[in-house]
Amino acid sequence: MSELRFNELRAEQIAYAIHRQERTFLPSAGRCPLCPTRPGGPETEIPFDRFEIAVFDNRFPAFEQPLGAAEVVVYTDSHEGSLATLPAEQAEALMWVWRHRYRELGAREDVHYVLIFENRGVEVGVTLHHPHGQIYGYPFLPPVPQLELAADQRLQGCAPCALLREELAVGRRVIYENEHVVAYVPYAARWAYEVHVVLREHRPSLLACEPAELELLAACLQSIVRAYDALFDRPFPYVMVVHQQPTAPTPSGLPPSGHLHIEFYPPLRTAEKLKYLAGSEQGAGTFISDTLPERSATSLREALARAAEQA
Amino acid sequence: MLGKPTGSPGSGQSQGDSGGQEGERQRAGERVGALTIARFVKDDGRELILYTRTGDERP
Repeated sequence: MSELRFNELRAEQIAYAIHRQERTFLPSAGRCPLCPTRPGGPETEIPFDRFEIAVFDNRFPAFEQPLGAAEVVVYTDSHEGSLATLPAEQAEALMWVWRHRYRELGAREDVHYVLIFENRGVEVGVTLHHPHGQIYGYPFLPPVPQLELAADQRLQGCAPCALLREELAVGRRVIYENEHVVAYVPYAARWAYEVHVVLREHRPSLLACEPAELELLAACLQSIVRAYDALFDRPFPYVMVVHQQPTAPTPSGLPPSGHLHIEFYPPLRTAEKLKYLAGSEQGAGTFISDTLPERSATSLREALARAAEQA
Repeated sequence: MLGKPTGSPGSGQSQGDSGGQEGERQRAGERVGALTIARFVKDDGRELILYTRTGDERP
């Protein structure tokens, strides 16, 4: 069981999950716990010889009942590939799985915020290469969604809606659009190739999305990852986070607001160089970036075109 | 080893979440969108859920 301690200087909870030191670390493909269980082979987390999408309670949870949840979402039974290489209908199915987990975990009394995310690449600490993501159910409202709620109050309305309107009006940082979804490098991106994927309509969470929106959201996410991989012609590491409405009342007692959007935080600033969180970022909370968002957007649009040509 | 499923994949029932605004939680013959849901319990008590597109008999 994890222990929560409140850090007074940062006004934030720290979760101590010391059992996670023992978690499986970069096993060979033959020992992958997320693969199907092969005849004669070791039993994996999914004891079937094939499957489409699997979700299970994390064996090494950061949070668990009665104080939250930690789940693993396995995108495919194939050990190779990525979100980008899934068949389109499989990626669309993943949106429905996310929606289902948000609904089910969010209904629990001990889950105040559902965070769906994917860490891709050893650069961001991945310990298993099999295509997968994770879901944390926090027993409190974490700082980032608190800041998003504060932004709604500051802008006197839905902040992601306001920012989307501005990005569409300016246009220079938009890298992808379809009927329901827009992707752009934000005006004040922290990361060199940060991308935000936003629903055109105000949707607090996946639960409010129409089926066509989920289909086009999946298509957009796949296109962004393909563009990333084409950018430096290498698998592109990132952290991808689904931001949604909190599932419990906010600490201030205000009803939770929110607008479904997905944010990508890639650590690469060039093909070979990583952005490290150093003195200013860690000590002052101020990101120093050496890449302008407008230039990154141009590069990503070009990479998207190259990826489309190769498809 | 797994316990028995608490939902059956491909059961053909249509009482699940099929889109739009919030639906209620489902158990028996669960579906979400075009996916059927099968639930299992591992020996250590952890839950495993398999999502399968309708019409596919797997697993």
